[in-house]
Amino acid sequence: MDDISRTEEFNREAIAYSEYYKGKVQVLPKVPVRGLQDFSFWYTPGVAAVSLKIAKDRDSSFELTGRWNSVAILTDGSRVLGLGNVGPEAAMPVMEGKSLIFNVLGAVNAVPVPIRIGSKEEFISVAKALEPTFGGFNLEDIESPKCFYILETLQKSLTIPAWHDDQLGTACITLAGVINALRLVNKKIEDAKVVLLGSGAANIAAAHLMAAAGFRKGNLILADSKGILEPEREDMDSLMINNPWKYELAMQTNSERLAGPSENAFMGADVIISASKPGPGTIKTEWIKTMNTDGIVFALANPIPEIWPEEAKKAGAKIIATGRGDFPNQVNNSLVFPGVFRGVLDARAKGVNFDIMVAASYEIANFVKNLDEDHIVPTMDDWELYPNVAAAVASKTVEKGLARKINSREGFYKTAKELIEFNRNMFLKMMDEKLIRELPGGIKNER
Amino acid sequence: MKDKIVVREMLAADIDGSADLILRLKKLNGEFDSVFVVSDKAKKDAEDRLRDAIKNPEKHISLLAERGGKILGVLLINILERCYYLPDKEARITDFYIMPEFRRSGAGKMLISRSYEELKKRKIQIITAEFPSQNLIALKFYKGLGYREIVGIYGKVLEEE
Repeated sequence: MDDISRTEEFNREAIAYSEYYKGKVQVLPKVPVRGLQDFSFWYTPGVAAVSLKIAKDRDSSFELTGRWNSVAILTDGSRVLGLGNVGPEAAMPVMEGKSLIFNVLGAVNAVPVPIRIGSKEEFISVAKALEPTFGGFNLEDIESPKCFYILETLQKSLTIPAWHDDQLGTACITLAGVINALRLVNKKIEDAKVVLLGSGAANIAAAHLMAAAGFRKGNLILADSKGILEPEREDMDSLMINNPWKYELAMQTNSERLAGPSENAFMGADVIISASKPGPGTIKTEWIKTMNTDGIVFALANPIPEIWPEEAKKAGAKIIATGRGDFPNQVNNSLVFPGVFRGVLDARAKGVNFDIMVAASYEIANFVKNLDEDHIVPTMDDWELYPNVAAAVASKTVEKGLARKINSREGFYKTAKELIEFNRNMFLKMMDEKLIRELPGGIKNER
Repeated sequence: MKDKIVVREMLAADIDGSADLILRLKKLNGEFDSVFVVSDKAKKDAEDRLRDAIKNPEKHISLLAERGGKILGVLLINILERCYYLPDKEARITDFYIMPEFRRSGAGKMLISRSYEELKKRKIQIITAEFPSQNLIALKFYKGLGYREIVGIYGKVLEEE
């Protein structure tokens, strides 16, 4: 089946199954109710004692309610997938899908919460108002540069982690892939010249994360649709007003002071990370030819990468990654967020920062045992990955003084592993028992 | 470390480079308020104004900051006659621009201090600065130097019938 008819088939199935199931996730009890008398402790009168206990010590809400494992998937629907501003109602199917991945891979209770907001300040106040209910926030599909403001403000003002997956998740898996790619070609992080093509949410975050991981800021070069970012570019004042995050990076990166169209940046580059316009042809083979030997190219645009992997390879690139599962080296957020959230939740974290993210990236990179050009990142069915990432994240959270709950790395690993396995077994059992209904059209719950 | 930042008076040879910075300033004003749409002849306007300022030093103070021969900041001041009030002279900053990467380098304060020395020589005691009301960055800068709001200019764009 070709690409187009395969996509059409997925679209048809998605609509039909959505009509059939009417939602992908639901709230289920997790305590026994032997008879109505049990409500005397699950609910009133007994529950009042629990309330009083929490009223005296708010943080005990993490131990006496489901808050410890609850995450809100917050979106305003302003930049959903590649669809643009489709609004909160239309964002719901995507958020439900995210919730499903959170649950299946990370045993996290992630509640989809698309919200209608009139301004970024209103987003902040809604999120703050929701804080008592959750152990963390996953922000999703919010347009840039609004997303930078919202994430930065929430990270400063909340006492739970705020994560914007389009920024941080993508940056984390990108860094993991780059770490392994550089290992393969025997280049050092501190020497690598990295070009970030596209200066949206993902690459702005990637630039900060790479700096935190030891890349020299001066060796990073960002480019956008107007060309290479540098302090003397004509639109710098406009950026200062409208996108200070991009502006700051323009001031701090590119010590070579390259200027002009983005292809000028390819000359001698060791790594290209492109989160730009879908291809093919966004990146030209001639540009790849000007790269340093053993070039590393991440062409992450969906659905079509900026350059087809085989073309990049023919032009001399050594290692190529894309956002797609049908090519080697899929740079996929789903390798990151289930484990990261499992980790911050298990540590009852007060926040998340770049140091914790670098730890997550290294854990993901180190997880790849048979490293080669076509295997620089794990794949989603590497079940062992998630508890390992969780343990790395949780122990780094402790080290950084951001944990409410202290444990050893082994202890955190055991907790995460048990939670994920228990949840998975429950889920599979429900599928086997058909308590989760089989797909319509006589398709069995077989795995 | 590279060369030091130097502040000096603007010369005729500096007009081209300085006009580019003035143009950046006017475009920046446009970012703050749609009433400031930069015209096609703005670059020429800037060159004319600079030429005039350099030619008539009694009515203007024109300074620049440079490093390694590269202009990184300009400061233009008009000396105004004050009607009705005392003292009878006022220095008005009309154009002040620092290239983005030098904004926290102290170059701006160096230019301002140099202009104060010049005003002292001329015995001018009042200095004012004009900038778009929406330009909160300029507002913060001048407030930090002890300036306060003195006059306000309010306006509206008349709609066509």
